[in-house]
Amino acid sequence: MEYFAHSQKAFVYKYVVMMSDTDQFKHMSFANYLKLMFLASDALFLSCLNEDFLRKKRLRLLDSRMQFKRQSVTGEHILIKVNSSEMNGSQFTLLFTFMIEGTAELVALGRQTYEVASLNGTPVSELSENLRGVLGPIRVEEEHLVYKY
Amino acid sequence: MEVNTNKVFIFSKISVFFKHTDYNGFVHPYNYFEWTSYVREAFFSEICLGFREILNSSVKMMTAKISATMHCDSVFGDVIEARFTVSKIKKVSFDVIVRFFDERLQRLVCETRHTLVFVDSQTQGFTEVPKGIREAIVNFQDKE
Repeated sequence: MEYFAHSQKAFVYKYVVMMSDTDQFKHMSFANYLKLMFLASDALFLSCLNEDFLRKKRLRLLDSRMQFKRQSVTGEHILIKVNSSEMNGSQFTLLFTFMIEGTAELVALGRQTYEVASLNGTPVSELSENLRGVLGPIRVEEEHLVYKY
Repeated sequence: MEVNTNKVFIFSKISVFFKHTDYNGFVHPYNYFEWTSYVREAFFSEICLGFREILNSSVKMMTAKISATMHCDSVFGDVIEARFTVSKIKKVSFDVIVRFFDERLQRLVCETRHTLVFVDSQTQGFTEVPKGIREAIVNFQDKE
């Protein structure tokens, strides 16, 4: 498992589908795509959230959704492109494009909205510089994209 | 004639363990997706006549989309009750709604919605919701 910055326009997380990801129907079960979405967002956050942040604040998921376009099987290499959008006050949105490496076949589309809050649940007034530094370069205008997340 | 009796399928076997919690001690949202799959499989297994035969047929059930809305946070030791209903029953698909209630908080903590579609693996085309499943879900339509 590895992740890397693919370009300035998207954060890319790569995953190879394992036998343990698939069920009796030989496909990756739907909950595992959701798990991959959280793994990709964690990988993105790792680069900007330190211990100090995590002791004082939390990233709270407000809502999440995913559309499934194609099933995947053991051994397939999935690239998850992550972009940001809608950075307002304490909230921001992440967009996920799951595709097969090499063929670029679309596997799934995901969307998560997060809020940064103190540990007592009060939203912060604005996103930290660290977080904006990571989300800014991968920001897109959602309404201008080909896919509807 | 199909009659909706507005039943709710209750799955009350969810307890929060350490493995379900995040860095701050709250239930990680991913768990609600996994629990959603358990709840729906429990429903089909317990309520739908002939579900095992459907599994062994060429008809396959696929999740087309899913969403979750978080309302508040559960913590270690909480017991969560999942309430399963359905909506938008169509020829080849229907929506499943699972609402998770925390017994300690006495509140809705998360709601997931997903669309199931049925496909015939031999023809690779959509196929009707199997009779055993349709006859079960009509009794569990959501009141919304």
